[in-house]
Amino acid sequence: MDTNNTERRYFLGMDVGSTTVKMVVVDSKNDDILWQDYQRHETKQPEKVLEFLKRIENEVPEVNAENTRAFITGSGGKNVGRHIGAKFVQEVNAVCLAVEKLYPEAGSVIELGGQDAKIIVFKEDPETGRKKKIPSMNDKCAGGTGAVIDKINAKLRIPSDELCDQGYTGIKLHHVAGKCGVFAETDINSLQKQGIPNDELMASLFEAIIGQNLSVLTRGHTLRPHVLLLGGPNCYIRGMREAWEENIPLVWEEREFPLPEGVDPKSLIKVPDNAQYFAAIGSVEYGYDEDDDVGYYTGYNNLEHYINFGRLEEKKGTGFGLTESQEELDTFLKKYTKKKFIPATFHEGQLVQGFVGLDGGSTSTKGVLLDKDKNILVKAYQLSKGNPIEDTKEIMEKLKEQVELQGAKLEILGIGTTGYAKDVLKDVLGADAAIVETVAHTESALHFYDDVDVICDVGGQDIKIMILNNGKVKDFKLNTQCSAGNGYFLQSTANDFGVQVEDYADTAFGAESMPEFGYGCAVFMQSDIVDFQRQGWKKEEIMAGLANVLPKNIWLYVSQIPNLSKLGTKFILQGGTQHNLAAVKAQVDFIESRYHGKGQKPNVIVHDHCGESGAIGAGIEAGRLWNNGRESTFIGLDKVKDITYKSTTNEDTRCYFCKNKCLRTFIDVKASNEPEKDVVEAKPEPKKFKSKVPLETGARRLIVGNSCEKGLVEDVNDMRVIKKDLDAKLDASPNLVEESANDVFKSFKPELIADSMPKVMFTSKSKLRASKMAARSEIRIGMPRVLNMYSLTPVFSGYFESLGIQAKNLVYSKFTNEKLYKEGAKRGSIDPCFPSKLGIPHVHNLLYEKHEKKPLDIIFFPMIDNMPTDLVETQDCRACPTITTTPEAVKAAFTKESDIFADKGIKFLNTFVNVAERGLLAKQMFEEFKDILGLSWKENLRAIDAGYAAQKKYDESIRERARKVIDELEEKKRFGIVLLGRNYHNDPGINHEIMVEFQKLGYPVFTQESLPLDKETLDKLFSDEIKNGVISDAMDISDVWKNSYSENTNRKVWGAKYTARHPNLIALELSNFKCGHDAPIYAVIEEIVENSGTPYFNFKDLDENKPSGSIKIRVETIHYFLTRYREDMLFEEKKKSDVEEKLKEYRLELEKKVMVEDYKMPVQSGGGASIGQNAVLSPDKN
Amino acid sequence: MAGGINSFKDKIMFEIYKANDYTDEYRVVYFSELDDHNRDREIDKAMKGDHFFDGFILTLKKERAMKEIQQIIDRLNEGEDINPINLEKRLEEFLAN
Repeated sequence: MDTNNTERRYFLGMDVGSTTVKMVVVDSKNDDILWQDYQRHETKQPEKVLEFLKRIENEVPEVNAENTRAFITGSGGKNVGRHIGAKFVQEVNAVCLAVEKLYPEAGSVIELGGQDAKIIVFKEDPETGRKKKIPSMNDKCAGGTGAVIDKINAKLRIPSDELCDQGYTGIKLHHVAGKCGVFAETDINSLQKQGIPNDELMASLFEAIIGQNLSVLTRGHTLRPHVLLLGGPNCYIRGMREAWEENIPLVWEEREFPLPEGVDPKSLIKVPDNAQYFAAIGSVEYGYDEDDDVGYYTGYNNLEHYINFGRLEEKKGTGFGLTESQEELDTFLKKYTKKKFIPATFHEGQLVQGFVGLDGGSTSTKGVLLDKDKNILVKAYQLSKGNPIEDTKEIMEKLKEQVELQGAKLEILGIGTTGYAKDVLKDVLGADAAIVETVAHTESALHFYDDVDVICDVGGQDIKIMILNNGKVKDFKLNTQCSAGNGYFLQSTANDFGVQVEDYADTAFGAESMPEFGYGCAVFMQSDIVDFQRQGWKKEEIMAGLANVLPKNIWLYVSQIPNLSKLGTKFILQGGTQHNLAAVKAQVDFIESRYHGKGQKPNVIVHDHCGESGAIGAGIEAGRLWNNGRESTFIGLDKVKDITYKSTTNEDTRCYFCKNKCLRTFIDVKASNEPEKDVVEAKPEPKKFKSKVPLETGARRLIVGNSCEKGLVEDVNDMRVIKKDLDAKLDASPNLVEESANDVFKSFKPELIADSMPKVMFTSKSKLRASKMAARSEIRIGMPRVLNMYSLTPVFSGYFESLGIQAKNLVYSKFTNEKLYKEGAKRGSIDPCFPSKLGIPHVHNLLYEKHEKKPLDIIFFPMIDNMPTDLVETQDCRACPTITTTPEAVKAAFTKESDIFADKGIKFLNTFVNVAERGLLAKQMFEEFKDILGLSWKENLRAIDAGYAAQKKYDESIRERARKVIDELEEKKRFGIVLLGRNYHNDPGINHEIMVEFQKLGYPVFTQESLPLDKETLDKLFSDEIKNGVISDAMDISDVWKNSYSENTNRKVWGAKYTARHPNLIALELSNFKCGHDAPIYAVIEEIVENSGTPYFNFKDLDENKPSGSIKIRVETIHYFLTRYREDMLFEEKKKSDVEEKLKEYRLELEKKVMVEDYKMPVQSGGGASIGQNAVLSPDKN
Repeated sequence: MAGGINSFKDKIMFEIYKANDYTDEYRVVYFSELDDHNRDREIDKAMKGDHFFDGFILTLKKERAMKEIQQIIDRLNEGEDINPINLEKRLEEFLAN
């Protein structure tokens, strides 16, 4: 290109990335590349750029500051560019410009860098014919980037030339998490322990990285050929290229993407020449279009000065360390330095009775001994030796020693366990309670502190935030999907710097300045540490910076609660990390900063026993049970010492119940004798034990290392036994959510109301109609199992069936599952919420599975604008507009590139319907189907009637069923759970089967639509308010919700009112991420339920990812609080009945006394009868 | 998984069962081929049925083994009486320990 600027004819193009520097010198006269190089900068970006510039000066002498312009891109581009006069170019722009110039035929680009991953899809705009760029980049997460390869390779230590030659094709693959570098490392560790060779580990990692990028970054767009692979990992690692070549053609095949004929799809995926220089070359291209005076290269002197002096100056000027002054530090330390714990002293011969709490964590086990008043007597700590039983034996011994070495005798009245090993420990020790960590930490905090709003527990490998309301866990956040922000990272960094973790705070407080870490992924922070070291930051400054970023990771990255003031004002900090006062200082400052200008000041307290708070909570629970009269099932201290166990991990312990094939560990435990008290709940031994790992007589087997509960059994027979028990439990607690989801798609067998076939056909019109009527019985209509179809399908199925369409020819997509979603979501996505995103996958399922099995004629996906309602005094009964219009978006997804429906011979009907208005619906259905089905207006009206009748039948049947279950609950004084949600929360793929978890625990589950509407029930719940004029009718919600135009919202509010008033029902609210209709009623629902004293729980922000770990903990937490609630309720009832009983006895006694006195009392003359007389004459009246 | 081959020791656990639903037909479930998305459902279905035969087939021979098992199931569903001992003999070459 001739820029007509002969004075500045040379262009420097630079790409300063997170791990490498790429530079080109281009002569604009002829576009020749005069010089190029690519090197790792080993975290010294400016130095490497300087080195390159000096080399250019020597190797291309014609290039100088007088005749050169400079353009720079990459993550380090801005910082370096300002010292050499280079203009910064955004990276995606640079890459696109290079692609357009060098490979105009490219349809997409996948560039993987050290810390970034981008995918750019070029699509032709059908209107303008111009290529449109659709770029997508990773954010704060290292998943899917080169950083993950670096991290894993640092562990595997494969030399770089060998790493480049690592392959993919034909190599056995194993499961490795792609979404997080830290979790990938955990998987690799585990596979390595199993002896999996490096080539399989790396191939599996490549697979994971590619899967991550394909699923996250393509965002539903098909990668168009040719696909260019750019960036270091793609250019240099053979296996990465092979993995793309294997996987992308599979996507093309699945989507039937048209490819050039006779071409091997793999050949459409290529690493172009100069692949590593694309961004640098693109920067030059960008420069060509800039004004002549932009990007004047100023030489490298300023850069050199910056490296030698300026950078240090800059560093000095960055502000303060963790404190701004010694005074501030002193004040902080005075407030937050804890007194050292002094164990209790005992006298010779004293009997020490107490409760033990054990917290079996992933990195350590903690134990405490509490007295009867729950005061802490002694503590013990054990770094994990990899086996919770071994750790616990040592903990118990340490607790015992601290008592008995003083000559006292220890008697344990009860034991509670928590932490990941809680169930194993409960089994082995015969502990009295195994409570979930959230409960243990809450119990502990509430035992020491009043009116707590938030508990923030930062442990070694996890973070738990419990948000409380009236002493109950209302919500909590866990970092189950990402390792960012845990305490272990601080500890390992201190160790790397040669600082003991106990000295972390002293070291960090010594820093007068600190670097600013970006919050987010630990993998990035790890490389930031190296960067900062290279920049000259000292260890104390880096440690201060790391402590400073911890609260951002906790509150902004993991829990995503920037507005802390809405949670309350009292924060309790717990967990072992809170021993580190540098971390505490940063947290206190961060929390306080979130209250500026809000008129409140938070009270941040560090738990006095922060490291043992979980164990304390478990001990408190054991004490509570003992106080309630429970006799401990603990096997006894002597027997703990004698516990022996054998641990086996080999091919014989592998689980084969799914593809994961988890390598489990069998721990066979033997206590020396039978338990002291014959009440240990040992699991029954299977009768036909086929294990390849023989179990010794008297031993019990605990299975660990399994990723799901299926792995708790060894063979099909055991599974059958367990399943039978589980099924019995499920049968005992009906799940009306599941039943509704199934029943709504069944046939309600409406009466056939079709016109009879005309006997005489004179006109072509009547002949045509007759042929269409005759064809009805063979027409196959597909309907997606989504959205409001979960409540209104009977209207449509009743309509179609009554017209003669066979029930078996009404075909529904499958229930939502992960596979269905993933397969369909590749077609495109609709962003607002997960339920609406499901439209495309369900229609995809109809097209590609149901239609393939047996052709469909029609896919009917109505746009439901309003819904019938039982409520009164509401403003309207509209459906959510996003949900209403989803079918239109679905239509676009399957017709934007080619009309898939037409290609498959299917009519896609997204009829706009108003189901709340019978007349209008009749018209709408008639307009749509009159020609397709040969309808007459009258038979259409009869079909509409049949549809509503079917709907009524469905609604009534589910309510009748619910009524029976509720009657049983009332009789047995049990609780049932009402799902407060939208009807499509009945979809097992949306509710993630959370309700089944409750069912397994013995709670029947109801939908709000299933709640009985019979007069007797409604009178019981609402008559007082109706009498008082608060509401006009039981179905009136105007007292609590004025903006009642959305039917699903209105139903939810009404469901909350109903649940709040019923003593045997508990509310569980489900809501999806980005639900604009739910957001305004969060507080309304919560207040309605809680103001009545009814427990309220929620699962909010649900989306396509099933948070299994979080669900398990949350369900266990809720179960615990409900158990306590029931205990309290029964206790209150008993107390009340005891009082009544006493009163009765007292009254009888009084009556007897009165009677006796009456006999003694002379009868008065002339007057009325005395009490005594009455009593004698008719004692029953009294 | 794409791109992978399997070691000669690798095996797949399976069960032939008689469905306890309106069909009453014989079916097979290959447990070790189940993914997270269908594991629970398929195991539930199998466990609701009546056990007929279970074991492991070698992954390397899975395609032939699965064909053979399907044939056996078809014959069972046609009413043929095949006892588990004979069945084991027929599958002998595919079975893993």
